[in-house]
Amino acid sequence: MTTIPAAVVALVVLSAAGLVPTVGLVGLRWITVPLLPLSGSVAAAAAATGFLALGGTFMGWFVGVAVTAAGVVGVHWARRPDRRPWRVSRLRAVGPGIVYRVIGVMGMVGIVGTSAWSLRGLSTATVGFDARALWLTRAGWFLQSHHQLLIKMRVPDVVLIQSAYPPLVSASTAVAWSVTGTHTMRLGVVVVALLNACVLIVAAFALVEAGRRFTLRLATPPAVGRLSVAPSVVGVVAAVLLVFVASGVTEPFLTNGYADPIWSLAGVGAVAYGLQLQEGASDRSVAFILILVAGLSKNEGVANAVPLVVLVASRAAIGHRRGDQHRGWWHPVAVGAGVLVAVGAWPTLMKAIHARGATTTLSVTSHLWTRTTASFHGMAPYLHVLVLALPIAVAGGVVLSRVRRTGGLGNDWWAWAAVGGGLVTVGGDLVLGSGAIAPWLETTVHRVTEFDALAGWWIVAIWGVVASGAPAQTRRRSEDASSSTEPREDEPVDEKPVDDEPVELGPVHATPAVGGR
Amino acid sequence: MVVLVVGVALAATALVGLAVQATRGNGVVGVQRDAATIHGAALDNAFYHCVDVQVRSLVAPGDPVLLGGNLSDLITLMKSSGSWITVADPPSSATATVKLRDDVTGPGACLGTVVVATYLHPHDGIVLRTGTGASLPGSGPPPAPPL
Repeated sequence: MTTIPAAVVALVVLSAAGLVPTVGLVGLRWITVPLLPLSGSVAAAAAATGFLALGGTFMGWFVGVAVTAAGVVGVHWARRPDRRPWRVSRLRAVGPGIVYRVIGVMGMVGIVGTSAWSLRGLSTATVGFDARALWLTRAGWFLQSHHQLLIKMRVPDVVLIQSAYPPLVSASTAVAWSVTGTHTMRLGVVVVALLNACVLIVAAFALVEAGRRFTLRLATPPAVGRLSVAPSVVGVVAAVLLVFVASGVTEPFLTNGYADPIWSLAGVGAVAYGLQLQEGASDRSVAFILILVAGLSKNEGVANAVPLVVLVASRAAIGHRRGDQHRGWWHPVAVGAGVLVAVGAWPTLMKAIHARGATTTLSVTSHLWTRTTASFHGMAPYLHVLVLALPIAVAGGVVLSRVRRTGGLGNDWWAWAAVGGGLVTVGGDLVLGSGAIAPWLETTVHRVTEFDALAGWWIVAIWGVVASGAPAQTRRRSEDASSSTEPREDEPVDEKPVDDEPVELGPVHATPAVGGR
Repeated sequence: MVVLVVGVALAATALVGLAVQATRGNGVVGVQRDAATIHGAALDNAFYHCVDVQVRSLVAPGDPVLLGGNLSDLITLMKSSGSWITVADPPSSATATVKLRDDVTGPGACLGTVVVATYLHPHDGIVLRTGTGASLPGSGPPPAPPL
């Protein structure tokens, strides 16, 4: 089978594995489609972990994980008929209207189109150094016997200490190779690039969601008129631009089989859905799926996944405590704990089997200051966006907080906390690690800072969406002042979380709540 | 009024910043299609394919082998054939030791490198065989792709 049909088959198989759990968790939304292969890749990573831990065959585990996940969701649907996704068809009858959907279609078409254009680097058959030496080579290990896999993970002769890195990229490639019989590096590169594109589409679409939800809130009362459409338009434009920006930040690794883009982009998506959009079960599920993708892709992804889980679960729990659903505050905390267990399974297994490269030596040495300054100067050139994002965030936070709350968007301090968490974990690894700092920085710093750079651009973009609502907000306030004494919707007093149904109608459910957190 | 002015200014600043960086990003992606990148990728693929074919001419996927040589050669062997080769453990179970020989001139080499396998034959003692089936003219390893 040639590469293109093989890649299509691989994506279909991964999507099939992710179909039921994704629909069960997220519902029937636009972003469910690109999330399907990502959930399938999480299943593949879980299969790799189970195979390495207990034996059997990798594909047996993959099918088993997918069937088990589907079965759990099926039982849930049987016990809770109100959670079945086909309820959506009834709810759509009271949906938010044609403009809302048209904006969604425009946004998705624009994002998919620019993402496809950004993959044109695939026309050059590049296989990255680490991709050929590790990420794709290890895919073949998962298709060998359990005994041989253990040997390759352990024996020092194989020289690759990075083989202890999380398995998602290799496992997804192994699925592709197994179901198509096409064991080529080229297929691996293409499948990984398509997964990168899927996570990029999901992350960018959060801007479209933010814009159109903002418009929906501004559209009542109708006196605001056409100005209310501005956040939607800016959301679509910013999302399309963000795709180009992300492609530039992550190339050439977006299309040469590296694992850095997928965890970085997934981290940004988790920030978007878990920390910036209106909190609710569906958006939070998107965030947790993306955190799993990040945490199962690379050690730096693990390091970033931990603060992300804590932040997303904390925000949701705080929302519950503030709102009228006090009893459910522990639900997101429990889910977050489960995500941490899933992310931690692979590193724990690496130590248990004494895998080569499983131990990370961190120490406070006499060179601490030297390593700190070297790390700072190494990372700084890739984080210029923060020079733009910081003043925008400060100005927006001082002047536009009320506008942001009207739009139902979370405080960007949550996103900054995620950026800080990423910098601390990655920077701390560089400072406290035992490897020679200069070559370490030279060969990795441009890749391990991708998350923070992309999150910085996300913050710039989301403030663009928020700021575009200022004219409508100003008009609305003047209308309100002259014509009504009723409480305005943007007053930050009615803050309650929305344990929304996993359906596309997030904004409809979100409308009563104000995302001031 | 302050909200309106700051809002418009902030939206414009954000979109202009994104647009400038998007333009740069689009240019970065475009570099992946220039002639030097295409040539480097083709040479890289041809080299590792050549080494892989030579390894396959010497050992089968199920044969337990040892990988020998310096660090650079070990990495080259892992990159070319590491996904399917069977590593012997314990080492005494190996049917052959696979190495690279560099700086080889003439036909039959992959950019000056050939694969050699050492077998311990019960009657003939140590037998050395050289990989066949593919060659790539030129010298030196291919240019390293970006790390």
